[in-house]
Amino acid sequence: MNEPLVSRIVILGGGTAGWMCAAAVSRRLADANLQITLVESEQIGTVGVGEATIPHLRYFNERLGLRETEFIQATHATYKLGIEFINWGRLGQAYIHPFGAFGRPFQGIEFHHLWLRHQRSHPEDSLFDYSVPVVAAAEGKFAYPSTNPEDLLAEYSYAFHIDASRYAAFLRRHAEQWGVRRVEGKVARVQRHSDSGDIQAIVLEDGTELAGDFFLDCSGFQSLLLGRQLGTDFIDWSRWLPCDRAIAVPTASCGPALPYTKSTALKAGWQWRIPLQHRVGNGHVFASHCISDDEALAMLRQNLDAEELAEPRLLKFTAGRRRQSWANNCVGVGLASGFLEPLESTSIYLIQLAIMKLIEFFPRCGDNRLRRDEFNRQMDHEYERIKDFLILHYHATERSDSEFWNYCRTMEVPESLRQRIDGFRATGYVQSYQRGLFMVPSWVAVMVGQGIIPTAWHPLADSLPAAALQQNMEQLKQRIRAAVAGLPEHLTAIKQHCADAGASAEPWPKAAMSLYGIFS
Amino acid sequence: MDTPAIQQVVIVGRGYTPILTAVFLQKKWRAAPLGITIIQAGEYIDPPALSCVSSLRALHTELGLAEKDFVRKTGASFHLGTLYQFHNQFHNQFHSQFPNQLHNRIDSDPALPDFFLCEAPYGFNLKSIHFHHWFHGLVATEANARFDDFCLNALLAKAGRFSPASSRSNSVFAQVCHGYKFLTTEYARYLAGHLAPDTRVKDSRALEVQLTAEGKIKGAFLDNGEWIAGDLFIDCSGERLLKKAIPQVSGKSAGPNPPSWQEEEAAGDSLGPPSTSLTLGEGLLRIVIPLRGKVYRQDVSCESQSQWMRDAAPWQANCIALGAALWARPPLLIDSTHLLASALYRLHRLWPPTADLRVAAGFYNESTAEEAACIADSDSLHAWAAAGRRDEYLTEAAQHKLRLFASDGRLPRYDGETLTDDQWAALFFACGVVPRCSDPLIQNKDRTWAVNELKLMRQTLREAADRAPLHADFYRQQVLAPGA
Repeated sequence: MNEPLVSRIVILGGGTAGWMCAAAVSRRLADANLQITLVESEQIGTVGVGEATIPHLRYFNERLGLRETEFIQATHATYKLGIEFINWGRLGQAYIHPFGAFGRPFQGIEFHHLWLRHQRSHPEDSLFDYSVPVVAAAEGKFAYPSTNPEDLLAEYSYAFHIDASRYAAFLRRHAEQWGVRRVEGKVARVQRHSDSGDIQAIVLEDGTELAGDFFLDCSGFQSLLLGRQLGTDFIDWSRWLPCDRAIAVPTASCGPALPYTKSTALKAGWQWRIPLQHRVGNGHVFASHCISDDEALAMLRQNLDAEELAEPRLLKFTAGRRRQSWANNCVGVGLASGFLEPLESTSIYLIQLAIMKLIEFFPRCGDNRLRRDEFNRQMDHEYERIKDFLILHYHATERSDSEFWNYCRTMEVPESLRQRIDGFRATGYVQSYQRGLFMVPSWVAVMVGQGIIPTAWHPLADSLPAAALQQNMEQLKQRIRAAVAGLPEHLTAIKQHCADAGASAEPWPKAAMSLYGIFS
Repeated sequence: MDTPAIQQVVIVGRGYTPILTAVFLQKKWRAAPLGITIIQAGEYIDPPALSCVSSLRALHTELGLAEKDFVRKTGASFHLGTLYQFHNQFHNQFHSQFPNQLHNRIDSDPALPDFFLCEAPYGFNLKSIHFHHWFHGLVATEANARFDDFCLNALLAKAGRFSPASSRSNSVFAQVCHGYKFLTTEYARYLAGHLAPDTRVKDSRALEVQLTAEGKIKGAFLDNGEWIAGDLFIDCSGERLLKKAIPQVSGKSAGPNPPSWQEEEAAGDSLGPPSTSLTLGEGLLRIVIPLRGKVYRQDVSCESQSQWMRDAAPWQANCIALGAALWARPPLLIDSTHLLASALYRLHRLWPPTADLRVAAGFYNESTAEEAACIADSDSLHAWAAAGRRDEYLTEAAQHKLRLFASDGRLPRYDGETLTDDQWAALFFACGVVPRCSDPLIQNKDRTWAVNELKLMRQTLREAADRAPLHADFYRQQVLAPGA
């Protein structure tokens, strides 16, 4: 009764997106008689700077049966508990957006309401002291979250800093074992069905014709199939996310690798610092209408803390997304379907999500409109909500030290974001949604971290006597500090976990599709 | 934040809704008590009997209302779900209008079989793939396989048996999920016993609502001339006594109250089965609740579906519509107690911290609208099934859900989703919508293995159901017996 499955999949482009697609489709749809061909060219470099991840990648690897410790060894990964944002709200200010919630709920209301009340009388008190991953990150500690949900150390998750090109190679090894055929070559032209407009085949420069039933466009910013061939519109978000260039350069390791990413706001953009086991990834994302490439490079170099290991690479982009991620018989994955700067490490997540949705709505021969529409609806939804969250970082600022920050501070933001900011400022409430990557703890982290302190809070927070509240808050902070003090150093944890790589047991906790813990 | 913006709450309406609302607020605000006044005004609008899902149990637990005490004092019985019965007329229309959408099992069967709908899981997921995808494979080898044979609630209810959920996660009885059936007058009386002693309860045939210049409710005169003022007003009345005094901004006029209930004597076991029934056909939905020697019945026309939600902006100014002031829908999968509990939690989460209520109201209305849209999707599917599968009864999202499920067994999810995936899948199966394709993740070599697993699963569930006591025996031994 089943319609015949699509049997020939052609993936255009290697790199992280291409090989994540190849590995996932070949593994998850094993025995579905799929012929999967990936075409890439060694002459075309990969962007390869998506090095900071979020906890969801653990779920992706787990579904593919990839052992976490092998993954860490293969990608020279370090652990990541969050991102530190420096100079974003104002110069001299810093906070960590953690992979975990703050404190514990009180009588059905979120912890931050208690903190808001407490902070009114203790203005020096920091919300971020009530977060295990923040304190652990700041101390350079790491341990797997506890699997006992009652434990204070159960209330966070973790991700990795990885060498993205090594991750692609790691996945390639597995994908080829799982039957993926790799073809070396560059695209010369694309053949389309005259009636439907569907893609029929990719013809390479050497004349090789790669026919397929379905195509995954992982060609990066070029979007060769989805954009150029199928003409899917690009929705430009640069009026809200004005950075359009990045310069990336690796440096030597300098000191113990931190278990968090650093994002430092500069004059016309921001700089990332991603510590791996063997080197540090650095980059400067900037708005080219505010500073020149040379000036951006000079600023990046000024802030590097070790010798450069390669020539800096310049990337050009426009923030936005394709109106449809799936058009005809082609799905764009990764940069081919949209670009959101890696401010919150969402690049690999969006690749992962597209793949998971693709498998969920896997195409069959015949009419795929229903599957396509649902896939596009869900992807659009995700992009839109991440977009708002990223804009928040730029807009929630007091900075007035450059043309760039003046623009960001005063720009008109999307109405959905405007309501969320105004609502939080007035009441302490974050309008939450059920589906989306960034939930209440993340919105609170960035808004409070960048200086949006509500003038009101849930009135139940006033029901505790001031002395009891102060005592409870102090005790919670002490418990967190004590718990973190017992954790191993970050590098010690990596060494220990990798030493156990061959063990049959899996010491790492089960993965979850959540930023904030391992249980949901 | 020294002086709370909301100190006096006025709740208007009769029946259990205003009292449950008051009890909820008093429990939640026990550390900073609110002044609460209940004005019993307007018509008594509650149905005589209610069947509810398990969210009322969860709410009771949170409010400290012990199950045994509640059941004993209200005479409630247990509720495992609803038997859906399809009127024959429906099938004729079904065949003539949708010949291409039919699954072969339905094609070969002139009557759509009864189907048990509940909130408990249907089957167990295998290899992290949802059960209903595997079930699809079983149907290929066993044309008469029933989806609800994999639901312990259904097996228990059909056999007139009952067991509460086991707390042991490895027990098959951990799957059981129950609510209650009860008389609403008894329930209101029971709840009244849990009101805080300082609750002011007033009775008034009429209200004269006074507004401030900004359009907020200042207070109301009772028919005896007494003036009741408040900061926040909650309208639970069928006549919308408060809401109708506020200029409507939503542009939607409130529809009528739901049709009345009929009451008949019932034969057989006086306790009744641990279930209810719903008959769908000829554009009607007939809800039947057997309870304590009687049968309570409501016939609802599908034509009225667009008016089942009465207010697109339930929170306006300082007035919130709950219960009958907001909903006029029949209890289809989701009942009024669930919607009330959901609204109360939402209200608690968004309790206004300042006298400017606009932010809280905006967030509240947005969240309610999302929930209402998802409820409307499932309601519209009921109307669609009862009215011979006429697409005009379906919401746009329900059409999308139906087509996607019929195609691949996929269940798109939206913000505010109330039904579980299992409930959606069961509802579609009940309506004869069976996916045409199986999940691509199910490999060919898995199918034989899966069929055997499913047969074993079904056998295990049947044996478990057979071990459970009869509903009446459980009730007598575990609820009524002294010292139980």
